[in-house]
Amino acid sequence: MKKSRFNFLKLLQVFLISFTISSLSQTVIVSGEVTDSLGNLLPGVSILVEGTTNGTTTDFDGKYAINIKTPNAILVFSYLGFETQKIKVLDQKKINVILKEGSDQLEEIQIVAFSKQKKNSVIGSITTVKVTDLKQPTANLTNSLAGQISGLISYQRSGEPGQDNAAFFIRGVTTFGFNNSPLILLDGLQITSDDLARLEPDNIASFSIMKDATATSLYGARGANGVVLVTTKEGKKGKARVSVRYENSISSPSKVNSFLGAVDYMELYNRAERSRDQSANLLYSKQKIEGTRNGLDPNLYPDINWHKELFNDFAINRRFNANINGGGEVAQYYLSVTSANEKGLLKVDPLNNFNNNIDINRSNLRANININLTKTTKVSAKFYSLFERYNGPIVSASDIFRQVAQANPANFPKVFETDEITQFFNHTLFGNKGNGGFPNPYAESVKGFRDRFANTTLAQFQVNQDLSFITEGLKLRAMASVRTYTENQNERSFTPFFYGLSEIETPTGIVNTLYQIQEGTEFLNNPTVNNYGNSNFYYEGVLEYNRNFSEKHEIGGLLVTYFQEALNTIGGNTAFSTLPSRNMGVSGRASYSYDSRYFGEFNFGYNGSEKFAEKNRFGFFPSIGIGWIISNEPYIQKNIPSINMLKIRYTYGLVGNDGISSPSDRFFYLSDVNLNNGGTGYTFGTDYNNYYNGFIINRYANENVTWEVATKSNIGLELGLFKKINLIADFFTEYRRNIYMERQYIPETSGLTTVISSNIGEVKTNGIDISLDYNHAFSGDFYITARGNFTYSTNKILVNGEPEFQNKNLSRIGYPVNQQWGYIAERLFVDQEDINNSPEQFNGFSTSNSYLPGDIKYKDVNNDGVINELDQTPIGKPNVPEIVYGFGFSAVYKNFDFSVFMQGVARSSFFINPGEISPFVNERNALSIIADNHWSENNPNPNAFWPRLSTYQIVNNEKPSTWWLRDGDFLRLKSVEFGYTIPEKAGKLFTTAKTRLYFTGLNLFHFSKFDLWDPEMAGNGLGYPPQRVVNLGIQINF
Amino acid sequence: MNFNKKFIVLIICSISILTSCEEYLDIVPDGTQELRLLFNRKETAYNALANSYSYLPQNDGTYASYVLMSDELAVPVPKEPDAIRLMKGQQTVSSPLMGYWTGYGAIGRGQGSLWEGIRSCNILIENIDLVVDMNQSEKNQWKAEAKFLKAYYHFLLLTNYGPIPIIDVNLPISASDEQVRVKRETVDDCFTYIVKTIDASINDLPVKIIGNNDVGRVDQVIAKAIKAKVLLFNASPLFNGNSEFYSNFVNSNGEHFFNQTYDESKWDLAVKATKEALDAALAQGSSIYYYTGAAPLFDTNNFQFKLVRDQYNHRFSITDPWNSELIWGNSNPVTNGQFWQIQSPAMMKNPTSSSVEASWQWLAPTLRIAETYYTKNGLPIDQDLSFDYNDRYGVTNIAFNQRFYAQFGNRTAKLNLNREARFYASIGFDRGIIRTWGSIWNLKMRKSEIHGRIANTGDYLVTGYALKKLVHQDSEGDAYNKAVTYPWPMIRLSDLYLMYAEALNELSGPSTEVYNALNIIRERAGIPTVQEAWSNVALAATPNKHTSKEGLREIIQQERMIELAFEGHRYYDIRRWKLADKYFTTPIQGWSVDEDSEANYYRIMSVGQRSFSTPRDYFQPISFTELSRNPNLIQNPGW
Repeated sequence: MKKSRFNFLKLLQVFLISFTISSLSQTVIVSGEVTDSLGNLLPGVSILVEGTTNGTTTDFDGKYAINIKTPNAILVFSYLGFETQKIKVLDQKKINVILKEGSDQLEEIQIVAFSKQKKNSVIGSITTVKVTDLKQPTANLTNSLAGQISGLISYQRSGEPGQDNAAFFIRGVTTFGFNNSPLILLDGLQITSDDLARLEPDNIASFSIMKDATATSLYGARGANGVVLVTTKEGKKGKARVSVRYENSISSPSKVNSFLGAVDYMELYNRAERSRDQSANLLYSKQKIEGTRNGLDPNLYPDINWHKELFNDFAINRRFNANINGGGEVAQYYLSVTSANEKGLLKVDPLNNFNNNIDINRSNLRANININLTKTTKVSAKFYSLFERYNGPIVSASDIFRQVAQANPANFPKVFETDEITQFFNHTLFGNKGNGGFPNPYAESVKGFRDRFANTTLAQFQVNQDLSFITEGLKLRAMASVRTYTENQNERSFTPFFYGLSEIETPTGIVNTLYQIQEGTEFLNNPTVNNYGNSNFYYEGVLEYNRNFSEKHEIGGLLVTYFQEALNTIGGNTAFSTLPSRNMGVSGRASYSYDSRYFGEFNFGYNGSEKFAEKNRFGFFPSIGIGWIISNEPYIQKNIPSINMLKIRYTYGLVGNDGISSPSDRFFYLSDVNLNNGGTGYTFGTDYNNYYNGFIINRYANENVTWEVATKSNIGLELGLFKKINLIADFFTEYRRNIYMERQYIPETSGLTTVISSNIGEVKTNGIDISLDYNHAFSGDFYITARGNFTYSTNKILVNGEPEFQNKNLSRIGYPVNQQWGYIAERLFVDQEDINNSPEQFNGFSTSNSYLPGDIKYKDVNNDGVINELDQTPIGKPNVPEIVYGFGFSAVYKNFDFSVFMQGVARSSFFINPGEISPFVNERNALSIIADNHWSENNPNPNAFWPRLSTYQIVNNEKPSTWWLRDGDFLRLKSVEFGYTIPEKAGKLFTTAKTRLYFTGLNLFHFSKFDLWDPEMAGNGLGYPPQRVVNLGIQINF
Repeated sequence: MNFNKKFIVLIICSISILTSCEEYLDIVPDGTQELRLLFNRKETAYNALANSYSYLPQNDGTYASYVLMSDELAVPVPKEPDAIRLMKGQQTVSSPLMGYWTGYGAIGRGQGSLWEGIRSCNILIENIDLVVDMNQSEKNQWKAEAKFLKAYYHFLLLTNYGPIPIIDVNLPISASDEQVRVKRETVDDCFTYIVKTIDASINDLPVKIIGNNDVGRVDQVIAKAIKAKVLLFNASPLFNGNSEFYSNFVNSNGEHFFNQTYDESKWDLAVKATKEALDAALAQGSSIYYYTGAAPLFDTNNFQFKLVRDQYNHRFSITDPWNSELIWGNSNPVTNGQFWQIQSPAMMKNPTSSSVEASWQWLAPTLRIAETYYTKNGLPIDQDLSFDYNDRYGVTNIAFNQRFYAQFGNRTAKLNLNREARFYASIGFDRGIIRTWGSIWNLKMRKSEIHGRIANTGDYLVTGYALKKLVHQDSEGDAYNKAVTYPWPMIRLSDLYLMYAEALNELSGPSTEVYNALNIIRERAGIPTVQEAWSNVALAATPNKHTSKEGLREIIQQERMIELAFEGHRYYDIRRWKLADKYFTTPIQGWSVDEDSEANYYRIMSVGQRSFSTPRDYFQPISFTELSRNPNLIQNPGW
């Protein structure tokens, strides 16, 4: 607010002055435009001839013109939040300037909890990401987060449109409690990660994550998992500035699984049958195999690539955003409209007039309006509506992807060609065989569709009052917000008609005829309707005080009170899930700094949550922080000018997490009892009819349950060298206690009908996050910036509430929260003697769990002579990566710009799910790798990828074990962007629009030790893969 | 200025709202379901009472029943309930079968953990005084019932696990980790606690439950009978001076869980308690059951023959609901519409039905139990000189005077002929007869015959014997709801007489009083008295066996095995007597049911192993999980 008023007044002033000057003397006019590093025109940049009072500012379109009296003049371009640049005029008439976002400006403002602070005075650990870095050709903002923000662990397991949110955790997963996700605030209001995913980066003014106690303790019992703070753009004074962006992108799977063709499949199937039973009847006859090999009748000898039958190679997505920003003295506005269309890869059956492919149309409208009521009173209103129309298959597209692995290429075609009898049928002849029941993924995919309309509305009203008339530096703010979400979903499907092909012997030979296996419906069944809705209400009052005393003492104070309520308005069926969730509290901050060198800060949150007993309802979460900007010490400034910034800071404090269990499991001070439980009743009487129900306690009342508490400490170092290099490193530790968890060691003798959970879990986390920036302008028209960040977070469980295992390998204590347990696979059994000389595995000697040479041999971890669940031991790395990093650079040369960004994760493991990919079981499909690399009598490789083949489930081989454990590390070329800004023609100085064309590639390739599927999918490898996107975009600003 | 003041007022207001924040956060409406609401009124408190009763074992549910946990019955392998798997040696520490400790699931209704049952009883005891519309004596009665059930649950745990922790009061939810890690008490302490708790309940219980609505609830007669049973176990070899098995089984202080020296006075306690229980039962009208109903039409002419009436007397003593012999019947039977009702797999197929599946008929008595029954002279088959014991598997013609239990003119094994009425009342055999479906049917049980194995299904009798005893004569098997429901006998008068005979013999040796107790049972069975049978040198291979304490002990044991067969006692009795090595380790046998010719059918074959490791299997294991939860528990020896 202060900023924009400053700009506007200055602007008017300078305009008047500059016109006056030009009319008086004979001088040279130098003109040009000022943009930021991404080509956005900057209005209000101040331009001064060094050593004079001669100056001007850029206009609304970032253009300027200034009179110069001497060619030796040096122009000084300065702008809030950007590095000041000096340029010698010489004989240039036109000087275009690109200002770099600066990090060492005293005036630079940082968003902090409930307020803003000068960046230098911030002691808490907060990372703000440049919004432009989040602009990627994807409709999901969360997909852009990985590797962009130091302190954020993020990964994306699925690429299904609408279901492709990336998981993200601030400083890793630091609790095994119910909620380990950060608090997400949009303009102060709590939103969901889905809401965040749908935000349009163009509308975001700032995106910050708050990591340590000082940054988050004001959020009290909501902030322990860190906070994501997003603010939206507001209107700035000036004539309307319009920005339009349109993108069209093509997305295709980053990697497609490769399955066997029909001939190979059938041959290997037959071998698999014989592999475990020498006398087995072969399923596929020689005739069928040869017929297929020779490509005879496709009805009889199908060779189906199900992936091809089900999916298109690519999908086309479009996004459009336009925003207008401007305003006058009284009112400023920011309006935006966004529309996006996203499609999936599914094919549509020609006989259906409905669309079963994913087709999502989203549009949103945003209006942020500020009104200056009086000189000291400002009101603002923000409105946001997101409309989403979803159309998609009846089962999730990820499941359809998985079904490709369920159907084999040789059994039947996806649909049979019609014959004389069936040709006039008004239904598709879906393929199947025998008595049916074999999965036909195509039928599953096209048999119906689901449509959904969802609407999210946010409305916010805020009043700002300057109270300087009471005492200077005092301000008051009050805000009320509401968010509502409603969705209505219909599912419609028909029952597919399945046909098979039967052999009938006739005098003329064998004739194959179609027969119907399953009668379907030719009409869509009645829709299944689902409605759901919820609302959030939020009220906040903030009293703020900031003042400088005698230049050196700077004092700040903040007092916040807030109320929050969340309500399921449609849906929810238990007494507890329909009651509102409420949270309220008072928070405050007191800060002091001396001479911009020494900083101290105290923060607190005092909050209450409805979930707990009265005595435990309110908690106090204080934090302290101190900082020292060494580079502001006169000695350093004088002697080591190359260090433009050196700051160390330390914070320590408490933050809470009240999301300790699901919304239906709240009110821990109450028991959850079924007083009329049929299962534990009893009958009396001679006729056995004097019946009484019993009762069952589903949860015991526990007054003592309360939130988790995180004790966080953070040591930060900020270093700026030569005004080009910025390094920020934070070392953190967190000790999370009071984690609500089951006391697994309560013995049966206590006679409890359910488990008891209490606040007993403890986890210790530590790690480091680093970001490094390098900026260099070689001249006015070549500019390069490189950046990198690295986050490492590891933890170990200190208290787990587990029983005292006699086998220590079962204990989770000392291991990370996301550590995985499994068996140690030594190798494949060599021969029967090897089996006989090894411990019995999973009762395999006597039961149907039997195994043969070529099956997996496990290690007897507890040395008790048998392999069973007690032999599980921690294996591999956690399934959530401990390291996430990213690095890249961008360069601007004249009208061209180019940027590259790489992103990777390390220290994570995952299991291949052998039960999902094991071939031939129920005539399931087979991955090519299994054909290439499996154990067989002829190739008894004890380390083959796949054990002895089988046509039925081998329990022994499907246990989670090191055999199936894979390294989840990868490094990918996340994005590449090449842009070209169309040069403007002389003479149209103040009227041309600025147009930039750009090409973006997303997920173009990756490096990983794992090559079966995209490693980021981890164990979800048969699902909807993450997408590789190529994108063409155009942005016009005028 | 005025405007600004409003804002100051606003902020002051919003801060002052904080003082009323308790209300803002107190959002749960009154009247959500809470435990205390259960004890507002009597009608709702009944749920707490019913809940306490609901943990009583369901021995009439095929898959949850301890009836199958012995060598009395065999089933086809695919049908094997957990009880049989356990007897075959498939018990494990990692997931114990049939464990009362943790409870177990089963097809139909499973068994809840008895510790939960104990907690439920304690909840009732703690809270029943809150009820406003019950008078004190009524409250005392309910409390006494809960106390008794609590003691009974402890007793069931004790008999299955040996030394157990005693949970007399519920630990609060906030109990510390150390508090919940309870320790096992010595068996003597457990018995003392159980007896003491039953004693404390007796006076507040009604003398005898009368009124149709409350039958099944505990009264003094029941409590005294169970107390007698507790003291009988207390005095039995397994628990009385068992240094043979448990000299090394000690607690953390080095004390023996099992007393190491035999104490005869425990039999004295058992005698007294049994006598007291008998007296109480008889005083309240209990009597040995005799069938008094009219003869069904198909038996009108046969009823003049004693052998027929004797069969009715025995069979109906179990299946006639609420008969005079029943002391404690389970009033919460598996209802007759359920296929897991134990009668369902025992019922014979209707011979007029065309369907193979008309009935299941797969619950088969073993050859061993068939051999346990006496001859018609009231002697064991190997002790009766008139019985061709050595050629008992040989086939012979069925004589005219054997027509009341077999098909005249046909042929069957000698083993099946000339036996006591209880044999014919309890077991069906090839060329025998069965009363069901409103008629007398001829059993033809060889392969492909009407009651034999017809199709290649799992519904067949693996031993060639059929179970009659647990099936009401009027139950029909073509629809589940046509079975006649009867309360499962948890304890009945015959049991008390047999307990009395056993205890008295152990205490003071053979006496007329011991004989009399046995003879009451034998009379109803239609066999001669103990003295008559065993004194007859012409018949008894070991004459006068009954005059020695050891001899009489064997006689009493066999009498018990016969009289209480298939009622779920054998697993407990055999272990109590430390005889498992003899009965539970050898394979069980039957006729060759997959043969259709007489010559081949009457050959003995093994139909399943039984496995029992001494002393390990005398008690069930405490699960691995439980041991890790509570390191203070010490595992039973051998597990």
